[in-house]
Parts: sequence; C-alpha cells; structure tokens
Amino acid sequence: MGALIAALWGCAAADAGPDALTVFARASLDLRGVRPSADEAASLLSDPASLDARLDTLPDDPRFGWNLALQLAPVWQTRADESDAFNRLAAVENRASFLASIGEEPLRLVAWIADHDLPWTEVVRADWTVVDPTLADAWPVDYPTGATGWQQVPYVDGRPAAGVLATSGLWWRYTSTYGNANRGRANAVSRILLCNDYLERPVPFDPALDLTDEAAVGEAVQSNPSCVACHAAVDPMGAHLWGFYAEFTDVTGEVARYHPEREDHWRAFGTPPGYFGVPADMANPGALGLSVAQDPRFIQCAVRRTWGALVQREPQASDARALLVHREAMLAGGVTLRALVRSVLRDPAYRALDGDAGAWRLMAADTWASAVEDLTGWRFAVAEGDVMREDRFGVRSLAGYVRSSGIVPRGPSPTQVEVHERWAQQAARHAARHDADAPEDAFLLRDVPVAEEPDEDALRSQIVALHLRVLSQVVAPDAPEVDEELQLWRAIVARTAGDTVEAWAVLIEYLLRDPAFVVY
Amino acid sequence: MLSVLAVLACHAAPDAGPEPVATPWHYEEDPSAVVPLSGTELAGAPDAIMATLTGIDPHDVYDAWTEIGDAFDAECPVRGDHNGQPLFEGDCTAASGAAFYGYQLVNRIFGFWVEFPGIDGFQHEYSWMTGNSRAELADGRVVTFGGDALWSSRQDGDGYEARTLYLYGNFAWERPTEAPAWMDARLEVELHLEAADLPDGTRAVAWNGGVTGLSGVVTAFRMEDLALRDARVDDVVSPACTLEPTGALSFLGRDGRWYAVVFDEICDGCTRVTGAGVEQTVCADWSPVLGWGDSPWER
Repeated sequence: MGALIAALWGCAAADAGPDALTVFARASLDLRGVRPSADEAASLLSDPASLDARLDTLPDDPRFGWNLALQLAPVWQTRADESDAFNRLAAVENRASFLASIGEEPLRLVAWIADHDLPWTEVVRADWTVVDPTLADAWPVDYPTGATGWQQVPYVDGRPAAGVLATSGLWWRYTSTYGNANRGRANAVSRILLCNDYLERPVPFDPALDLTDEAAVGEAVQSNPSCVACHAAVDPMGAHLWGFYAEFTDVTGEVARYHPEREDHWRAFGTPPGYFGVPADMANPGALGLSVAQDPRFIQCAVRRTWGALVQREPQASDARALLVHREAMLAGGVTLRALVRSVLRDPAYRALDGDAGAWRLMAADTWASAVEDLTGWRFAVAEGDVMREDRFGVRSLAGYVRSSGIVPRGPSPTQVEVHERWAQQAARHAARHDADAPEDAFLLRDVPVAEEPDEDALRSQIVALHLRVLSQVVAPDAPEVDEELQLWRAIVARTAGDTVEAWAVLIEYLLRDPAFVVY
Repeated sequence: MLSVLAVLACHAAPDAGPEPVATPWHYEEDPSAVVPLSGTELAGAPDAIMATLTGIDPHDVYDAWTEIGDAFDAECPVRGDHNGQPLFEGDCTAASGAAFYGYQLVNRIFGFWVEFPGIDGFQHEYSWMTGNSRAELADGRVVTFGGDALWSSRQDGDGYEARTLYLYGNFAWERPTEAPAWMDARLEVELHLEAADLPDGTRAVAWNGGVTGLSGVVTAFRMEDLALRDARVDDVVSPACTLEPTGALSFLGRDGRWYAVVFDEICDGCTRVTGAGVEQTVCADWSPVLGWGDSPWER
C-alpha cells in the first residue's frame, strides 16, 4: 500500500500546482540561474498541466547556454585559477579578470553551441572560439572593433579547426611538461568528452619498474603490459597536441599561441599521432577533433555528462534506458544540447520530489549568486571583479563552488553557510532600500509601501508573495510560517523604533537564508 | 501492480513506450570542404617562406625597447640587477603616463674582446633581451615582449666569423608610424640560426625552428637543419651546394594541411612538395637562406 501511495503521489506531482512549480523552479535555476518570476509562478499554478510546455521554453532563454555550461563546469575543471598560471601573467593588467576569463573560454564555447543550437560536434570541430575583451588583448584572435562581452571570433595563428581542443584556455588549464608528452592533456580530452578516465583504471604497477629512471619508464610505456594498457591509447592522443606545448611556461604569449612548428615533437618519443589504434592523417593538425567527433562514445558521453549535471548524480546501470532515450532525442534534434536538455527535463529522475531518491540538490555557488542578484539586484564585486568568478580575490570556493566532480555535495560546508549569511544580509538590505526608494521598480516588495506600516492583510499578502518569489513556495496567508514571519517583522519594527525598511530587510534575509532557498 | 500502472500513467518518458533503439552514430565531413593548395600556390610557397625568414630582424625588438625607453622615468619601470644584467620590472606608471607590466632583462654589448678557452675573439655585437613585458605609452604605442631575442656576431683572429640568432617568442610593436612588418603582424617566432664565414670567404648556414601566424598561402613553417653551404665545412657534411638546401622544411597551408618540401640529392633547387594528397615539383631560388651580407636581413 505504501508503494501505491508513493506512486500515486509521484504521479500527482505532474499535475499538482505546487509540485509543478517546484520542478519548474528547479529547471529555471539550472538553466537560467534564477527562480521563476512572480508572473511565471502564478501562471503555472493556475495551469499545472502546462509544465511540459513551459519547461520546453527554458532552453530558448538567452541565459540557457551559460548556465548549462556552469552546470558542466565541474566536469571541465577549467575554472581553476589557483594554479601556477599566475606566474605567466606578468604582462597582464587585471590578472584576476584574465584568469577568470581563461577558465571560462572553453565553457563559453560550450555555451555558444547551446545558445545557437549548433551541433555538439562543433565542440571539437569549430574553427572559432568565444572570448571577451580581456582575452582578446592576449589571445591571437580577431575580436571585432568596438564590440563588448563574449564574442565568437576566429583564432588567427593558423591553429586547426578543433573547437575546444584548439583553445588556449583549455591548454592553459591542462599544461604538459615535455617529458609528460601531453599525456595528461590526452586524458583530460578522454575524460571530458568520452567519459573515459584512464586515471580511474585499476592499474597493477610493476614494482620492479624504477619510476625515477626516465629511460626505463619510456621503455615500459611501450612494452610493459601494465603500462601499455593505457599508454597504447593515451600516448598517440597526446602526440596530437604538441602544437599547444609551451616551452616557456612563464611567458603569456607563449602559452596563448599555437605552435605548429612543434607539431612533430612527438618524434622524440617515437609514438606518432593516432586514435585508439587508427593512425592519424599526419597532414591534418585537426585530426584529433575529427576522430573524437566520430567516436560513438562522444555522443553517449555528452548525454551522460548533461544528465549527471542536471539530475545531480552519476548515472547507474538502471538509468541506461533513460540515457538511450535522451541520446535518441539529441540525435533527432540535430545533435543539439537544446534537444538533449528538453528530453532530460522530462525524465522522472530530474523531476524527483519528496519521497524519491535524490530528490533535492544544493544550489551551486554560481546559481546562488545569480538567483540572489535576480531577486535583489545585488551582486558582490570588488576592485578585481566579480567575487564569484574566481578564487584568488573572490569567494567562489568558500561559497561552495565544486571543481572536482559533476555533483554538488548534498550538504553545505560551514564556510558556505557563512558566505550565504553575509551575502544574504547585504543583498536583502540592498533590495529593501531600493524598493523603498523606487517602489515603481521594486524587486520584491511590490504589495506594500515599504517605508510605512501596512495593515495586517497587506503584510500577510506581501509575505505570501515573498514566499512565492524567493522560495517558489505556495503558502496560505494564515499559514503558521506566515504568522511567525509576521511576528518577526513586527519585532524588528519595535526594536528599531519603527524602521519598516529594516524589518523588510530582515525578513528578506531570513528567507534567503532559509534552507528551502538553497535546496531545490 | 497498481503502483506500476500508476507510474506508467504518470510520466510518458523515458520509462514508458517501446524499447528505444540506438541510432548508429556517424559523423563525416565533406572532404571537398578542404581545397588543397593549387599548383601555383605550391610553387610560390618557398618564396613566401624565404621572404618571411629574411624579414625577421631581432634588431627591431631592440629598437622598440629603445623607443619606448624615452617614455619611462627613473621610478618606472623599477630598475634592478639580475646576475649582473639590467632588470626592469613593473607594474607601474611613469610620469609620462606610460605603463609597464612584467619584467625585462636587457643586455647589449658592442665591440669587446672575449677570452674563453677555444673561442677567443672579437665580439662585434652581443644583444640579448629576455622577459615577459608589456609597455603601453600614453600616445597609444604598445610594445609586447615575450621570450628571448639574441643576436651575436663574433670574429676570431683567424678570419673565422660566427653569427648566432636565437629569437623565440612573440613580439609586437604598435605605433602610429609603420612598425616592422613581422612585429606588426604579431608573428610567433622560433628561429635559431647558426652561420659561419670561413677564412677562404665561403659560408655555411643552418636554420632551425619556425614561424607561425603568417597570412597568405603559407600560415606557418618549420625547419630542421635547413642548411646551405658553399664550401666543404668539414668531413661530415654533404658536398657544397648553393642552389638547394639539405635538411627538412614543411609548411602549413591556408587549407590547414601540412606540406613537406622534400630536398633531393640533385643540386638544382628543384624539390618535391607533398601533402594533402598532392605532389608537385617546385623549383625555387633558395639563395636568401645563404646569400646575405652581414646578416640575413641586410640592414
């Protein structure tokens, strides 16, 4: 009977207004970085059956591409500005901004593909990249005069058409020593785009091998069975990437540029470029991108990565059927991310609610910042730039940014809570003061005169509206939580000698710090 | 059973419906999208490479540094010393409004006698700069320096003269008046030249490295011991030939494909160029590799 009730409850979720709103809010946060507007929420509540149609519109939003890229960022791991790359920035004015932009370049390319409905194959076949003016100053690109923001531009240093595999941003993040011969880079390509991580393989190392003996290691990777198992595939992939090898790693331009004259450095290691046993077309420096695009694992991996980022768990064997459905949807939709995402949004695993496994997820740091900004108009920035863009001057990691896997932890860290508290405090005051000064353009307090004490009905009505807007939550005007918040509001007014603006600020902060805001 | 029915009735996809079948994944590109270089383009490639090679003068880098020096003052960039060599460091802005970022080592010495075991001789010029810097002047001039620029010419007492060029990195010079073409084009340079003039008046030259970022038919080229000699330098090298180099030369065409220039045993300047499914005999004037006065760029 319990199972039957649970099943019926889950079934009702698609039709019940509050649950439809929960699912829509989740998708809105994932794909737009914001909670649903008051109008969207009201409209959905009046017509819960329109959920599917409304979800289908989200990938058309201009914020879709970048927010999807942010969901995938922990897989790409390019936003890693704490690396030794800082030493290369001697000739750059705003180093924090430059580092942040470098890490974002591959993700911006992904976002551009998503936003422009281009085939996913462009990620390894595009003859363009996406840069902002900061990168345009340092990268060999043709950035349009007078343009601003992130723009699609060509590299002008003769690098091959290979999408992210030909971006300086990716190879700035994934460096290689000469001796490593781009093997680490090859594994990054394999891990990100093929879901094939050699570092996760159980490798029985030969204890007799002296790892400090360079010649012995060089011999072993070609003949020792323990080593060959991986190196037979990794080394030929790495041999493709010598054009992006930086000799002087402390020189900005050296790392920023493509070096075709180094393409044949593989000869020093004896392993020519190839792809899982297939020799490469030596005349084509973009051959690796083509090989990846042709690999059946490439599309499967895109589905797996996107599903994992949105559902917030690693796919299990029992998810195989669902992944296949999404793969087919992606192919039928022109191999686009929009088609793939629309399919995932219909997956029961994505729509899981209370009682379902993995129902709730913790808001990622970037989503936190954009959602709060959308609600309050407040964004935390310092002289070096947006503190959520990087770690050296920012608080991204402290705020809970996850860089090492695609899955956001289920529980917040103490520092994350602390950042959220301070952030909410500032944002709430900004919103309350703004709404008091400009009621015609209010962010949140649209139902009351902010600087006056309204009657109780108006107060309750405003609190109900705040729940809907801030928490995507439906509450009745006489609900217990509304009673409590009304008491809180009045207590603050009493304590501050009638400062209603402060009382609203406290109430907004209270809601932003509610676990229901960060768990969605 | 009821619960199963309820679930099936609830969500249409992806748990419901017929078992999906995986569509095979095929990705092909239209090979005609890549148009190999034409015969005329292939024939012109060596000349383009020679013109680029001999147009890159390290003195342009030193000149740029000298020119921007006027805009700086005693405080900016900060002067220091690194192993006895002048060091300039930023980040700072001079009174003129010129901003300097990064670091720069500059060491230029002219006309001195060197005494080292086996290489005693008169050093005409030793110019070496290394660093990673950017200078932005108030009038809009910008010099970007990243890498090494070394030019050295030395003569011993027996009439033997040796020259070394080591230019490695990227160097740009933006100015209202015309900048040297290779710096204006922001070419990525990785050149190593060793040249020897022998007492009998003959010369041997070997180039290594390459140049990237060219516009035109050839977008990049690389050399490995690209050598011309008009004398038997020692017992090891091949017979003298002033018409056709030895070594390896390859270039990246505007079609994104590599082409190899295959030098043969016949000293006639004619070679085979292969790549992207084409092969063609190309005869070229290779004399710029060797036939220069005091330096390849003939200043």
